[in-house]
Amino acid sequence: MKIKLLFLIFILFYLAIIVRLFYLQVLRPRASNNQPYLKTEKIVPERGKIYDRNKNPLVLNENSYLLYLEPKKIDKKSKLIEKLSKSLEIKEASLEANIDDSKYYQAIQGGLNEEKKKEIESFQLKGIGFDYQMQRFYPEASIAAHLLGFVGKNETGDNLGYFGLEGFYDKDLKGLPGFIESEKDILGRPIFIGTQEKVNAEDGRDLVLTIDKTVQESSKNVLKQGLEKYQAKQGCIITADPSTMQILGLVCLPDYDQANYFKFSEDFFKDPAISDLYEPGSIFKPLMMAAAIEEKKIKPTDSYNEDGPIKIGDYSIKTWNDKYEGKISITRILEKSSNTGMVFVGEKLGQGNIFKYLQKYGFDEKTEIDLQGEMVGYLKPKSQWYPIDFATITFGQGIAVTPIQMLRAFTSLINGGKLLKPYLVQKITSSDRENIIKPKVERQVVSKTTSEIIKKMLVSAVENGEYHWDRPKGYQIGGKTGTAQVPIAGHYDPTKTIASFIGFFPVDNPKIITLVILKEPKASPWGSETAAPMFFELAKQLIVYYGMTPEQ
Amino acid sequence: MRKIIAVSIWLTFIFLVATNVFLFYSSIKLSDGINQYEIKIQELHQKNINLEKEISYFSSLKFAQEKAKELNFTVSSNPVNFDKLEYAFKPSIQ
Repeated sequence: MKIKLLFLIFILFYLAIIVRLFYLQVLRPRASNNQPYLKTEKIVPERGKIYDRNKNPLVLNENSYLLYLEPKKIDKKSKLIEKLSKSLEIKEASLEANIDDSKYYQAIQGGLNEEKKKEIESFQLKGIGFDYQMQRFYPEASIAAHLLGFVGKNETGDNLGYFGLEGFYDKDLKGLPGFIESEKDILGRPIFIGTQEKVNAEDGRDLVLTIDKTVQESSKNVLKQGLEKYQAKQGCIITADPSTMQILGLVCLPDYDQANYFKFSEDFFKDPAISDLYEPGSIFKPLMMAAAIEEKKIKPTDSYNEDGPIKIGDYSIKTWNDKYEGKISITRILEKSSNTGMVFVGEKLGQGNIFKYLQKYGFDEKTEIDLQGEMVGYLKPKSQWYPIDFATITFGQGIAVTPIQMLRAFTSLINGGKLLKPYLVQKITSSDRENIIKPKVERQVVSKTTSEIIKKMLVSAVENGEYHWDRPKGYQIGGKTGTAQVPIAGHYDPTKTIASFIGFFPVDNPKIITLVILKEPKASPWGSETAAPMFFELAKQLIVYYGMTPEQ
Repeated sequence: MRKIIAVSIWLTFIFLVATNVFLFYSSIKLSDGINQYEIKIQELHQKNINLEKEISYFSSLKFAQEKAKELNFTVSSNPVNFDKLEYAFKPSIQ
């Protein structure tokens, strides 16, 4: 009897085991999140880094930690609040109000560095934990804030690049997450004979830029000093290699601190070099001059009789200083930046050709530069143009362009006539692949001959212009000043201008083209007295940096 | 004969129990090993990130500027250009 009873107990015991196993293995899905032993963890990839053209880092990643609380495990709440509020510089009352005792987990503050983590750990308080995170680190601080953009969060709390390169190349930079699926015992150790599956994360791709950090830094210093000296509201300096349209430096001020982007208003994030429209003014004149030479409507040896203002309908077009020199050469029109001379050139070129060249220079399209947030210039339909519009466009009024559009169009004048796509990333690298980005010619705008002619005219505009600058000695530099009045409520405000200068060197085979723009300078409204000296100051620094030997 | 069979069964049973214990112990050891290596890999990765950050800081223009200020190197020097470039070349030894 006793043996039978023991046998029955054994049978019941085995039955219980079989039923439990059946429940665990068949009735309950194996991969369910409720599985007590099977844990799935996401492996966050490391975001791609950004380097300048010489492989100097501009954006890296750094270790950071998210401080969290487990309110149910806290035993000395008042001490914890006191210590944390001091360490994190949070008011005790707000920290206390945030702690919800009914919760198991509460995130308190992210972005803590290792020193701060160690300091908090030294308090030896229960209910405190840290989650590892990575955040962006900028070794050169905000040397190129607009250009690089920043990394924020999306609506699900994941990292997302905003503005500039971070925004444009977000998909390349962020990489692909991996996961670990692992059966663990009650102590959290992996069960060796259980499920152990790991799919590695694919780290983001690194970007190698065309930017040279020395050019960038020099540009920023010159611009900073220029803004203070000329009391301008805003300014930009863009430098490029004219033969490839690789951007070597791009800086606009005021900018923002990327590491603390959340402390700035959204107005600071927009890059004026690609997002702001402005009337270019006189730096537009060489474009129209080149078009007229290309179409063989004028020759550099031709002359023009500058004998007074020109009447077009009810409007009267004057020179900037209302002085007239009589018979002058075509080159002199650029040298003295004669508006009436340009109206003459425009009349020779013809309305159809003017519009055709505005399109050829790309003012009705985006440049497709690899930055997030580019705007397209405003070129109204030809049917809406009046005769006065065809006259004023020749000296850069009545059209709105972005600084990058202006730089691209002007570059085509000095590089043999090629309109190139501007770009900032020359190489995208991952662990197993390297993608090299090459210059792209959009179209031929003017011929090489026209390009050579206009280059000589632009050198003459610098050497024989109305203003004598402190130029680097022994070097030939070509360029053009511009002063555009700001249109406000349908008329031009004479007190507010956009002063600019665009220049290039060496003249024979240009390596550098730079556009300097100042918005509403108060010290002087003229480009020749504000933007031009800034250009020559930067040119002096770049000549030394690139070791260019004197030509003369 | 029956005694031999009984001893064999006991020996097999003891062997199986010993093997089971050994396997259990080994799997725990291996699991600990996996855990430790994962932690070490993570630590190395974090150290690498820290080192990369330090190197980039010491080679940055920002650091160079700070040092230049500390050492009072604040005036930029202008380049000296030769009027006659041949002066720059070393004369060949006859």
